[in-house]
Amino acid sequence: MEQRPNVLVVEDDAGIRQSLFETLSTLGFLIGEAGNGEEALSRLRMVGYDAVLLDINMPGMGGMEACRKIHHDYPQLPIIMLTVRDEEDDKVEALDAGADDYVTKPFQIRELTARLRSAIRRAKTLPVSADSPTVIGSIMLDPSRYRVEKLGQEIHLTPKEFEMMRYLMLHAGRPVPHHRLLTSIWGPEYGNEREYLRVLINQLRKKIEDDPARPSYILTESYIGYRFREA
Amino acid sequence: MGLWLESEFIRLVHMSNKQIRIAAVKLITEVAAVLSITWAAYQLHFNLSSATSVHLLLVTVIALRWGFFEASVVSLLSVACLDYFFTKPLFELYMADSHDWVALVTFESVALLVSRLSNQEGRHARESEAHRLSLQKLYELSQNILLLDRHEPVDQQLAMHIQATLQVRGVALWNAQDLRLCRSGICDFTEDEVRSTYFTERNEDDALTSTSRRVLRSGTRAIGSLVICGHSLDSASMNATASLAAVAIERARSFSAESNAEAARQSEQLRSAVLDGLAHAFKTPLTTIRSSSSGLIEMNTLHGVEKRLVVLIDEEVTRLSDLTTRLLRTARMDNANLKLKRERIPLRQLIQDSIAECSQELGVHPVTIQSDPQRSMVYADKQLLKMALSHLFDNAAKYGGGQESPITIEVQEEQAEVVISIRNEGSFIPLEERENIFRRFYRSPGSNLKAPGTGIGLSVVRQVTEAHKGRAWVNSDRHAGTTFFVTLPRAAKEE
Repeated sequence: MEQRPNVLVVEDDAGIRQSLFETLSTLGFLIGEAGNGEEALSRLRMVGYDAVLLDINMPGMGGMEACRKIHHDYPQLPIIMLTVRDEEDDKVEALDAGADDYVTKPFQIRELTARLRSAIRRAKTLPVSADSPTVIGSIMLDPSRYRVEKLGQEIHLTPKEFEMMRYLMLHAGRPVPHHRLLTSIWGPEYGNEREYLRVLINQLRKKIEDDPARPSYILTESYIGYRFREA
Repeated sequence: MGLWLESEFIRLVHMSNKQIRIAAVKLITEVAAVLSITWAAYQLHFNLSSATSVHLLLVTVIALRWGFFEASVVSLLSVACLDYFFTKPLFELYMADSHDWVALVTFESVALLVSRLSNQEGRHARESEAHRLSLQKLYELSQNILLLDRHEPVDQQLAMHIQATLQVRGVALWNAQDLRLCRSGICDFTEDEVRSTYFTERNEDDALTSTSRRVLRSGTRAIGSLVICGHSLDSASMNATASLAAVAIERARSFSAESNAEAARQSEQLRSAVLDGLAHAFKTPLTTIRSSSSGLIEMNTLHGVEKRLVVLIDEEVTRLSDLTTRLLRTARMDNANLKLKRERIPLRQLIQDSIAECSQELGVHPVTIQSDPQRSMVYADKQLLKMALSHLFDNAAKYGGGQESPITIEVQEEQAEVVISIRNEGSFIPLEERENIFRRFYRSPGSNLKAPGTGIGLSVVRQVTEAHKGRAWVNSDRHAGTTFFVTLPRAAKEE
């Protein structure tokens, strides 16, 4: 029998904690609970977890600070932040602080479990060497041959487009903030030139998507960045 | 000389009762003085030349004390007395000797000349004294203006200070900003008369009624008008007074603008704090309910009625959380500088999304979309625009005739803007109501009978469109139905 994934829920509100405990336990997770950042860190020292669900607004240490500490101490441990709508800056900050993903309150359990499972799966798959070919859907990217194929047909990409594809596919399933894309593709002095990104993403979508108006590979994360769909 | 005569004449014509009395007393005194000097000289047996010198002394003294007019009267009287008592033949107004003629004509000329000179001297002294006084008054006025109470209306205080400090009969001040007239003392001008100075932008001085009218200016812009009645100041002092008043009004205006901005900023901060608190307080229980209900559905262990009830709970909590987000956003929107997160949006897609979101409200109303073949793009805040459209669809469904009456959505590309119209049958809105319905919390009379509502929806529509530099309005016809229009500037940013 497959081992049940062990998830630590860090949330200051007892109601939400209980609801998450009951539902996630029933849906096949083992749940540990913590009421704040400090408690979470001490529990992590005692028990090995597969993922952390971390509320962004908490008294005491606060979600952001806890996220930074957890990511520092356990860099492989996936962290999913629980955020509220309209606070896009917080989401970007959380992603920068080491969070893998975020879910906006109030959320559907189905969405939450999907995010949790894919984060755990990503963490468990052995890190592929950056040069080995990646296949997602009908897209294949082979860094060593500098080649992208869709259904076996080669797609011609400019160097920047190729860089973007490689970066997004390497982080497939995770939201990548605008500024991180800009700094890793254009260079460290960039960060606010969203126009460049938009233009490049549109070009890429025209080349790889079946319907560029309704993309299925490169998805927009409103106000945050982009996310390449998972394998 | 002509000028002097004219001004003296005016002085005489416009003398008040008191002044007439004073003039009469002076005249009597003069006559008495001349007669007594003449009598004394006659008794002491003065000759003509001695008597002439004594009279000349009197004329000079009178000229210095009272002025040219009075001195001239004395000199003429003196000539008559000298002729009567000291020239031959005595006791007759006739001179036999031509030397006497020369002596008396010389006396009169010298007397006139001396009075004129001494009068000029006196007038200069008086003028400089008046000037000094008016300067002092202006200085006092400027000091008082500095000490105006900023928490009380400035105009009234200003009118009172001008009247009291300049010691004038009355002051009327009209402020063009709040269209208010303030008076102090007695000034028989109607508001229209005072205002007309502002509109004609003409400064006037009326010597007859000693009234001055001044336009108050801040820079080159007229900001009001000032009328001062019954004053004794010169035109330059009036100009200075007007400048001081204008400065005071302008200062008060900028002071109140500044404190209003500060108050608005503080209340805005307070509002954001309260809203953030509310958002958290609402979202937390909603999260618990939603994760529980969706968790129950996900477990898939319930059947029949139980499952249907949980699905109902889940649907409604989703609706409630959307509503909360929407309400909190509308509350935030009262802020005039609403922050837009703009992006290029294909309008048709957005409309379809909004319709999908409102499917529950739209029910079985058939909805048709007519739009230009080319895809209209707008550069707008997707969430806000969707919210505005949802309110309009919701309205169309609520008030649109029967349950199956059609709703038509049309998109038209104009030169500079995109016009979206949403038409439903029925729900005639009278002309006088058409502007009111866009006001927050306004509900037209009788609308409660038709459908429940809060009176927020259309105010949101207007705020959203105006934040996008667009417009929102309504046309309504008893037969053709009701159409709401929303315009948005076309996407300027090309890919």
